[in-house]
Amino acid sequence: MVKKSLALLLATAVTAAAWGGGFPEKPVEAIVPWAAGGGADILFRALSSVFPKHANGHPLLIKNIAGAAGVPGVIEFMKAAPDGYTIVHWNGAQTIKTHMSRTPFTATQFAPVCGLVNDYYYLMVRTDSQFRTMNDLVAYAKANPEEINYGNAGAGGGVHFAQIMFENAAGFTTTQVPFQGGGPMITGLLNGQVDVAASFLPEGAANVLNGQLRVLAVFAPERQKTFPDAPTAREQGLDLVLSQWRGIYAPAGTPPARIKELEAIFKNICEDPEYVAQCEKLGTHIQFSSSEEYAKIMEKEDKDYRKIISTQKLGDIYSIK
Amino acid sequence: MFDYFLNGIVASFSPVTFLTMLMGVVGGIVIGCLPGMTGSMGLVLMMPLLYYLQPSDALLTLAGIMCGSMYGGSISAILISTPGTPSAAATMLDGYPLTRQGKAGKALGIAVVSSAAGGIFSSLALLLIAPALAEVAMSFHAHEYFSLSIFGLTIMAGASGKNLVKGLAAGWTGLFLSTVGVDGNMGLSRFTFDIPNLMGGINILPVLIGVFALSQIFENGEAIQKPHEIIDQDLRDVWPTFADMKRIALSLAIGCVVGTFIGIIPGTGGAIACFLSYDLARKLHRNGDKFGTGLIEGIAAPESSNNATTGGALVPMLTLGIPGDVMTAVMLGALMLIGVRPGPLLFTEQPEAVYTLLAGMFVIQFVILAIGMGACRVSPLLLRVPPALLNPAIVVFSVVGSYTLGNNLFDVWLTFFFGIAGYFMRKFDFPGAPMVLGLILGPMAEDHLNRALLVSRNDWSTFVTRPISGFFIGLSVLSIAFSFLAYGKGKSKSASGGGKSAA
Repeated sequence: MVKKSLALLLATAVTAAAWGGGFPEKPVEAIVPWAAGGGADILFRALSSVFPKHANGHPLLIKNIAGAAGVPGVIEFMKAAPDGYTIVHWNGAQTIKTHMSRTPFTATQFAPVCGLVNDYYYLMVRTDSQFRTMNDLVAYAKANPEEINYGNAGAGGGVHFAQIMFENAAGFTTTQVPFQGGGPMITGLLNGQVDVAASFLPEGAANVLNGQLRVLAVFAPERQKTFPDAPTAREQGLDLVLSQWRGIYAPAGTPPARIKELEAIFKNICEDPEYVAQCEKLGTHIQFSSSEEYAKIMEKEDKDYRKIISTQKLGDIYSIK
Repeated sequence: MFDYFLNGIVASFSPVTFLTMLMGVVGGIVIGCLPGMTGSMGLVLMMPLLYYLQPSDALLTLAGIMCGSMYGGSISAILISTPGTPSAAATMLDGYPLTRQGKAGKALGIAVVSSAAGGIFSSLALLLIAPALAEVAMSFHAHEYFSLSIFGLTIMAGASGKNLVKGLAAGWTGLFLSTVGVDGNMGLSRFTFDIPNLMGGINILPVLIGVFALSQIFENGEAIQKPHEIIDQDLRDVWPTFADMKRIALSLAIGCVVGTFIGIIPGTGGAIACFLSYDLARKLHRNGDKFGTGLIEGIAAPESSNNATTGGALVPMLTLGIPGDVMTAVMLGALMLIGVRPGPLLFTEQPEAVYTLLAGMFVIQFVILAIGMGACRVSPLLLRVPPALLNPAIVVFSVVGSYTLGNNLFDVWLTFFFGIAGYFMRKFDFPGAPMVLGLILGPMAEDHLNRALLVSRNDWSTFVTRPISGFFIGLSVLSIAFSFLAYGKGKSKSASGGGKSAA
């Protein structure tokens, strides 16, 4: 009896040692500055489903603070202590916003942890739409400027910006209709408020796969696994690749050692078959990048977006009124 | 179909499933009851636990939290005039007066029966005609959302109590407050005074807690030296009698239909549904002007309707793959995990999973009924707690509730700000409900107005020419006309009878 309980005690101690000590010692909070049900949210819920396995059993708590291209969420994030227990979802839309209006932060002032996924932009219509190919749409829009209602997931957001780049590259104009996030935008496309919408994979993928929506083009170097039948823009004669990184930032001033600990956790997650399977199901494209690589990618993206916004004279800061 | 449904009923009584579901319901009721804690917060708290459950059990637990928190909000609304969730804001209007009359038990009994009725009705609707109902969700474009929110705003008059002018003043203040923050269409800051915390706008919860809970505590503070006055609560017959059921039948029917309908429309919810059905029940009632003085009809309508939104909200999620809020978004995720792909063909292709969830929704309503009936007898004992203990406890819950909202101290200060504002509103007879209504509907109206005008190329006539939108605009005109008529009548009555103003 005594032996048995000793063994039990020992077993408990060993388990505690295997999990115990080290970072994290409590739940980690991830601020997702986008609406529940959107692309950012879906990805982070997949992360959080396997997070405890790689983080001493502590959960990743997701906090959605939606609206205004992520600004309120990031502001909330800025209040967090630089201890690695609060991280924030970061994507191109959030970088864009810092050049579109005066935000109390820049896209490069935080501590990059890692890049998680890199997803391609794709164009979709309802299954009953008159447009069968991307070129149908472009030809119609050129002949009838601003007649097509083209939905995006929020003014100045990543989807809106890719829309601008697509319109500029192909040389047509539409009426751009902003929604409060990707979920409502898909709803708006489904019930006919807009004729065409686009998003970064995997958003809307479920509605394509269940036959409600049709993909006109994927703006990727090659066809994507999620929609093997959907042609790329390149195949249709438009050499344009549009993608969106999603990654993680920690507060500025987080100790480098802590950043590396976080990076290691997410690297393990990105190699976890359970997470990989979930991402495959979601149609998102895992592309892990280290904190250094991700910092470089983000700096380049920041410069590129800034250049386009200032030459196109978009937003509050660069527009002349 | 019915064998799937019966199998689902049997499945929900298997030990683990039933226990986790029960946990969800109880957790939901407690969370709903505490001021400042809402169902979606409960969900976040339970999230780590949900991952250890079978996805099908997790689904039922989620449904339990969703339905439980809808009912739970009514307990605090009735007993201490503090709606536990925004969805219970209308329940308070007649619930608290009943408590003052010593009929808290009866009020709670009506609330739980109405909640269960609303849940059962919407589950039935979901079970029988979900694909047809999905059409409703699809037909709601920006125009319709805008007109619906305008219709919602017209019921401000109904939530105003006796003084229409003061009610409207409070309502417009709420609307004004809703414009604070970064706007969704242009990304421009409005009324933020360079305070970054205001960029996200003013959340409904600090206002709700401040105006209803804290202001009441401040007012109680005036009577601190008076002896604790215990109102004798009659707790013998909390079950509604047959006569009661006959009285509330119409209100119940209104609540069930309105709630299910509002629930179906993505992005709306219990807070809007409860006010709409309260107002409709008041207008269709023979003694509509007695609403707000403690009529059981005034509890039945909002309580059945906020619970009816739960079944309704599942319609677009299951049939279209569109989640309307956080709760259904997470349920959608859980469904995907068990390999169920929500969409138009779900009911025919994967009936088993759907009917298990629907059967669970049914069972949950009876669990609520059972727990609620116990709560009716026990919870009024809360009123015997001396104010010196009860009041500080409510303040603590208010602070904790507003803090957990965004783990943000700013919201706590905001709560105190609105507590003080609410205290003076009480002193000068400005009602709180219209303000809350303005704050809930303002952002919805604005966002959809912008989008509707973009799509219609600035053509305002489309709000009238689109049938459903036009229907709601028509209802709004009727509603305003009705309010003015009733106000005129009430005024002449009170002029002759020397009427007393109600808060």
